[in-house]
Amino acid sequence: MMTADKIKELIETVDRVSLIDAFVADKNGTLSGKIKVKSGGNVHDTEWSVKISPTYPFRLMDMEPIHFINSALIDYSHIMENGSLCKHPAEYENPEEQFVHDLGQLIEWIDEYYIKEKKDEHYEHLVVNHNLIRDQYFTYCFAETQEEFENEDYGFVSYANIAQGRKNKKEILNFVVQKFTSTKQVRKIENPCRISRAYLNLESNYGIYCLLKEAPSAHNKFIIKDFDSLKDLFSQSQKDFIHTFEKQYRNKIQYFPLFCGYKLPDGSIHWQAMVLHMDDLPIEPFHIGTGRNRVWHTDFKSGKIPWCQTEDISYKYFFGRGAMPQELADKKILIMGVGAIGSTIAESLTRCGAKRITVYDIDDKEPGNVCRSAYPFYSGITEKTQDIIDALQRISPHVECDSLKSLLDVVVKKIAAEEKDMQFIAKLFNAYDVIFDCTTDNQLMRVIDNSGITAQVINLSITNYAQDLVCAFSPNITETVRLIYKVLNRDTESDLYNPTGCWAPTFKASFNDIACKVQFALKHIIRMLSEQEPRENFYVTEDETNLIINRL
Amino acid sequence: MNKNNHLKEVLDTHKMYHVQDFVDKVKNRREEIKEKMYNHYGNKKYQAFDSGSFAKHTAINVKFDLDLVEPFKHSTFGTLQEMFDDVYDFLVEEYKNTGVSIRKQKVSIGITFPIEKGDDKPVELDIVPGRELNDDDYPETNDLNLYFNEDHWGFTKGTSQKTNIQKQIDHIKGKNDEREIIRLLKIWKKQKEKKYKSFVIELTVIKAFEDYNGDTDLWSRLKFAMEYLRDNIADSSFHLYDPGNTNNDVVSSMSDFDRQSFKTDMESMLNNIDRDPDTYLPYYFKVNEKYSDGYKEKNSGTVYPNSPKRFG
Repeated sequence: MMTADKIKELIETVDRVSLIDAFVADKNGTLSGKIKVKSGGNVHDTEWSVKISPTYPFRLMDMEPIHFINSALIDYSHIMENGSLCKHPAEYENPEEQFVHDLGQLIEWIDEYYIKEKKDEHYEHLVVNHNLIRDQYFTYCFAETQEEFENEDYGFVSYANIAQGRKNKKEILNFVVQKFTSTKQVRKIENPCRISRAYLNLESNYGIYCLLKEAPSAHNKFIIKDFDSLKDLFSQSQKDFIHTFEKQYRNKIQYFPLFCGYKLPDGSIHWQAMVLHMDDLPIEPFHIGTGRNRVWHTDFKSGKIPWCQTEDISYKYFFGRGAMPQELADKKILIMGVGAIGSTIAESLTRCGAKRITVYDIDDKEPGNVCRSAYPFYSGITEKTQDIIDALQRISPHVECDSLKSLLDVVVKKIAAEEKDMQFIAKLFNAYDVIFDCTTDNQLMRVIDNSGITAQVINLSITNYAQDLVCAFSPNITETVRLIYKVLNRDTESDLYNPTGCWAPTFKASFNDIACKVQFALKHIIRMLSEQEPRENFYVTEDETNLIINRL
Repeated sequence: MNKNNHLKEVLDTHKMYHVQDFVDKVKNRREEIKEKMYNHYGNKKYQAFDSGSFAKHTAINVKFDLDLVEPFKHSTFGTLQEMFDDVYDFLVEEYKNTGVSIRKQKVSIGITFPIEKGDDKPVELDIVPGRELNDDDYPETNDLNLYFNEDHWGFTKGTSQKTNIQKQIDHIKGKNDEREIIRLLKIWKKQKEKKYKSFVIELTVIKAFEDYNGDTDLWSRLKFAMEYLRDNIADSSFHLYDPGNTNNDVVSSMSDFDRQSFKTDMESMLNNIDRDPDTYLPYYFKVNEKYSDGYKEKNSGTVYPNSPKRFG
């Protein structure tokens, strides 16, 4: 535990740092004092108030346990609104070492950002505090739009509700922006966000957007907090439009978002929303001219701006932390058979950034499917295709999903039985770039082989207990699959799971048994489809310690 | 299983004489085109000659090319593109309203005749127009400039490449042992629909056997060629120079990914055949069942479960 004496002792060991005001503890145990750090040369020395938490060196609720504060330095990089230095220190086991290291980091910042006035190259969004607005939190997600915006553009924002959340026992209202409709010109121009149709088609609410003259920033890093500082960034037409909107929606809605847009250094538009309540709008009328020449306009009243959390969910940010190669994400993917393997593939590809997924299955989802596939119980008994599409759309606003009707099975098998028009089957499947056949339907597998499909088909199946996973690429899938099953020589008849009722026995394996092999296989498949690894048929086995890929 | 007997059966069932009637049809068509070209161009060109896998004796009955090279005199055309377009225009005009399809390909003009009753596929021929490098030097050098109509082998559309098809054919002449291995690898390539160039296989196998003094049986030779491919094809210091133009490194036009894939293919095949030849040799090198006389090497050809019990 840190004490004032120990701090004094430690400060004396650190070059360039000296104590100005001795540290004292308040009733909560927080130690406060003041130090000076020499800059050297002709640069002024800096003085810092220091606050040390009684939990030091432990972080509490992700908050740093030590603060170095100097409000006069707010214009410098990494100095927060309250004047404290934002830092991410290395962790030490004992408080003494930690304190000396923290002082070292402070000196490092002074040398780099104060003396040399370094500016970081990467752009950081304006800091916005997400406060409660009438006892609720509001969050809005937007994505890049299909078209660019005119300067000082303004108009309607269409946005839809998504699920509610909770934070600190308060409700979070979550919304996703669907489109911007410009009313700057006489003809309205719609500019939808680049998100899936599923989100664009949700029921819409309406708000306002205004593209500001410049970023609403204070000290180049914090958002402006009051309307007085903000109002000059709006054009008069934009401010007048807020009143127009109010007239149109008065008594129809309780609140609406006002999206303030500004250009980022890379040319893209960032939006920051505030929530305005109809019964207390921060606008007031004023007029210019007199008599018959008098014209009324709108301006903001003084007051604090009710900013709310606004997130850019454009594809590049949504999948910024990790995705499969873009070339593969852009492909049209068909997943046939969305059982244990197919549903996991569908979910994984969606989380990896897939943009177009079609699913096909002839079965309904039953409660018994949930334990080893990507389905929730909550959605009840329903068509597997519908359930997985719902799940995928909930995961990603960037995946377009649809399904092939189960009638496909009838059509394909009928054509195959009559041995004619196989080109029709090929044409049907060639509408896709990549097809995962997870149906385990041996007849369908043979039909696909014989139809001359040029799309890349990947056939996946597992043996009982998910002991092995078999992956065969087109062409000639059937012979490869048959060969691998012969090589594996697993007992396929005994110890299967027999559901109650007149059902075909099924295999036994847990979600973990299956998913670990599916993910391992999918990692290689993604690499193979992206030409990062030679494309070869393979099967996955395991020994006591490893999953093993066996290539053909 | 006896690997040599199996491989011999693979080669035998892929021999061209099984499709002799069809080959004759193609040859007749080729003669027809030769005659038309001669009648049209007369002494503006030299005598046409046959090339492709048939001329090199590396053809297999599931995939073979009977190409026709037409060497033009230097003074006949101002540019190589004019030569290419003129031959194309002539053939289009000549076969107008006959159901014959003529198309411009990478370095050749493809001709497809209407499929005849009883045939599995139509007669197809490639005409390769080339121009001698300088006035009257062809009879002595056999060198020709080919026109690249599409991006191909690292060359861009509109450019040209010097080659000597006669030297390419001579390069493989008399190399019967190599040709067997080339045919086996081409059978594998066709069955597995691999995109590697036959010319790369051909040159690599010939190079591999330059100093070969190992066992002479089929499997030993095939294994040696596959090991050679595995050990060299992805190596950046490995080169394969076109016998028709030693400035043209054929392997350098393959992408790194293709070279690595080729290496991995050979690696997997060798490992699997070594581990379980009865299963894997007939998987990688399949007998052409259509021309198999029913004889089966004992234990060759695995009996697979028809409908394996699969789960998913």
